[in-house]
Amino acid sequence: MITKETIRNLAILSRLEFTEDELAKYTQSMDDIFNYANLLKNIETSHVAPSSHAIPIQNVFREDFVIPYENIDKILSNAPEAEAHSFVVPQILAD
Amino acid sequence: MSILNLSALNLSKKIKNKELSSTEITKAFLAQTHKTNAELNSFLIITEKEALATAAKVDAKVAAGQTLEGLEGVPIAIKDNICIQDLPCTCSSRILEGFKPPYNATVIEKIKALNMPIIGKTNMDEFAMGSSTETSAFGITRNPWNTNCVPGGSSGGSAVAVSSLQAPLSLGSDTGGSIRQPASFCGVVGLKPTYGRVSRYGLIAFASSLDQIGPFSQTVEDSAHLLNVICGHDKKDSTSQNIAAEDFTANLQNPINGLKVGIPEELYNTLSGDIKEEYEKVIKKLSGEGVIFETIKLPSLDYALATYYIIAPAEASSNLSRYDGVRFGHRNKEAKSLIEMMTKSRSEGFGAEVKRRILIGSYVLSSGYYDAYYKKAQQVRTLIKEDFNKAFSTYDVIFSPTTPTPAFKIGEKSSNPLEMYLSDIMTIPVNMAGLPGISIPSSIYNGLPLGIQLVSNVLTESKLLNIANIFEKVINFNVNKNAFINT
Repeated sequence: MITKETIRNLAILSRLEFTEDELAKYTQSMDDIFNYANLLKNIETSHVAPSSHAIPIQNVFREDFVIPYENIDKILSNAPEAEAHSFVVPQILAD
Repeated sequence: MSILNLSALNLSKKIKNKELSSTEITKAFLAQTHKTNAELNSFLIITEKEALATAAKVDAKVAAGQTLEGLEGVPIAIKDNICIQDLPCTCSSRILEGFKPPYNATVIEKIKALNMPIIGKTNMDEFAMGSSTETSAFGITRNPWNTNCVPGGSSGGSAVAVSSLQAPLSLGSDTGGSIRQPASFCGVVGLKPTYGRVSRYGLIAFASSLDQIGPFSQTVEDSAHLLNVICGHDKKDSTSQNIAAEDFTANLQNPINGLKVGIPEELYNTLSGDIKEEYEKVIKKLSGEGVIFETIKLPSLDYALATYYIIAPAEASSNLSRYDGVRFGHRNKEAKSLIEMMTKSRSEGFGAEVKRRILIGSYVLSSGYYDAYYKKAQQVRTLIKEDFNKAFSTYDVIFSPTTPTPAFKIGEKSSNPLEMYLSDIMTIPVNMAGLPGISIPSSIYNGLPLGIQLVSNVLTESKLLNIANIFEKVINFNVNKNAFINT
């Protein structure tokens, strides 16, 4: 059962904020979706291994060497605010 | 016959034998794009200058007597979640407004190396989350067959580009059907390759274990040629498969007599009566060519949709955590603290459906729900893979409609997310198992195209394209597209 409180907590985890109206809408649509998803309870899986991928995936290793990257300015040009090759953000620590 | 009606392969032949120049061809498609885009809104940006510069390069090569490769000089449109250096790449989201990637996706490197003029970037559902291209922050895209209908999604713009003759080829991405479903709705060919066949480097991630780039085209043969261009191992994508190169056009004409085709009843039985009749006609026609159709049971497919709408949002909620207003994209400038800045930037930048998927993902990954939903879905995913595996020991290919209905009306499903999700019921199992799948047009129903989906075992695209190519000839879906040119 998805409640408004559930959505409020998920919003904090997801770094999102909602109006009361949005909270009500998401509560309703998520409740519908999970009522549907609960049909998974009908399938027996106690001895089934979970798959995170469709194909076998292995770690890919390589030698640890430096590949120089020249395009730093282009990356920083996408930043909302940048200074001296750094991304500028609002205050992180409280006063 | 107009340039616009020619297949990509025929265009390429005409460039090579100097009947047409790449510039003439590119200009023809650009003109059609300019003429139709105001109504269809399939392109977010049209890159005329760059496209003509590439075409001129090809024509100079021809003039200098140099040999052209493959599809060299044939124009293409690109979905706006695939990065092209220095061009805006938005994923149809406000949160990426103004973002210009400092690099090319690997598929773009390949397309640029082959001098294929890029016509522009196509509209899509925001972050590829949707089945109708209605969740784009930059307006809906219309279906050229009936402009009151959606083109499908999420690669709606790329499907419309090929369908309305704005480009002979395009690239989309397919996470749960986002190439095949719009291809079906728009009456074109759409191919989702095996997971790992095409590098995802530079494809903006939605659900990393499911996403795959693939082609749209007018013909199966054209998709085979384009797959040749974009496939291959890439050290920048650790999930790309390191396998020997093959020519996907080599076996297109192989005979298919005695071919065994399985029709999963879990999918087929969801069809309504008169739509089922349309597919019965197609099956009858193909049976006449010696193809053996049998109804099969793949019991786990009943659970595939629920599984997908747990796994894909889980991966998405993690992938989309990078949009925080720090390094690129939209930032709220008034926020006083870092957390407030991130929260406000994300809340302003993401649309309603993307937020819903993030919420679903955060829910199924949170402790207390992880086992009941996420782990459970991963276990069902194993069962889906096993069911397909078993089927492929007997059947060459799995057959189903690509979608339960033809294109629906704009706005019809946008207020009911679950109903929208159900339109992906045929295509989703294929992504869960990483299989290659193709949609080809099969008939017209109430003035709208229907498509069939063919699915084969992993890494058997050659066989899949062979079967699809022969089916295409037998079905003979031949539509006069002149109406699209003159609109």
